[in-house]
Amino acid sequence: MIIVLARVDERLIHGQIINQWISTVNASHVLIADEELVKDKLMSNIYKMLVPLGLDVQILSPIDVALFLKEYDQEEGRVLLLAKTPQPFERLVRLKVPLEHIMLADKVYYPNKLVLPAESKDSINWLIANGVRVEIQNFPIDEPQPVPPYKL
Amino acid sequence: MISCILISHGPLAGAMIKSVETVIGNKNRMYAVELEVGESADNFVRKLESVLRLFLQFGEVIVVSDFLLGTPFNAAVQLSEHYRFEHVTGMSAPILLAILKECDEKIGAQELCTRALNEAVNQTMDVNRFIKEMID
Repeated sequence: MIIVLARVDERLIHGQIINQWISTVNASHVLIADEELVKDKLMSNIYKMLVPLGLDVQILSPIDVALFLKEYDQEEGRVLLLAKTPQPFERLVRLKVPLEHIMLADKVYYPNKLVLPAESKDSINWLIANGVRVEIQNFPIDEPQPVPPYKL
Repeated sequence: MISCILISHGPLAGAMIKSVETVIGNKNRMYAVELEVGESADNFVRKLESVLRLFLQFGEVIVVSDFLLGTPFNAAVQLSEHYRFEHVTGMSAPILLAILKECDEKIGAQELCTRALNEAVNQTMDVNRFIKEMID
């Protein structure tokens, strides 16, 4: 399996993902790394049942995402990976998941924004320091904007 | 009284009310909650929740969302864990007209949704093909 898109998106699965990103990257699997959603049975089931037909949706903790990717390493598949914040992606890279690029959905990640929690800034800085390309891109037609490390 | 809360990405919900009212007049039963560009999902849930609580005081509520798995749809599903209301998706003029046409009848919100959806499905069609088949 290859990770075709790793995206930080506070809304997880929503209109843009369903109508644009899944087809743009031609995903066959959607993996959501979110501890809270794992416990929310109603929303998890809605996502699993209603995401366009043929797509495999897994809602897992970051550790389980890493295990899933390891277990199915040799199988065919194009993975769209989603998390609400950058922190799960830091976890995944620490767990040796090969992530080269992370896309941030939201303009709140521009370095001049002060609203971003320190943990998110720390994670992004850590990811950049460890060779992950971090870019902001909302829609597929938008030009990706590279994110420089935050000054803390 | 059954009320309708319309929820959408951007101005569809509010515009839909205005459009439908040109056909059936103002029934004061519809309210729009719109997701603004850049608005967070959590904020939308709070907005919808406050409107929902208000309308539930007056009777049953039908939430009509624009489409499957969008942020407004997701918000309504989340709130359905805590509040009792009907939720239909695939917002369209036929669905709303059907709901409003029958909302004075003595039927519950659930039955009303079933009827409205059946009616709306029959009104979504490829018109040229329909005419051709009719002539043939």
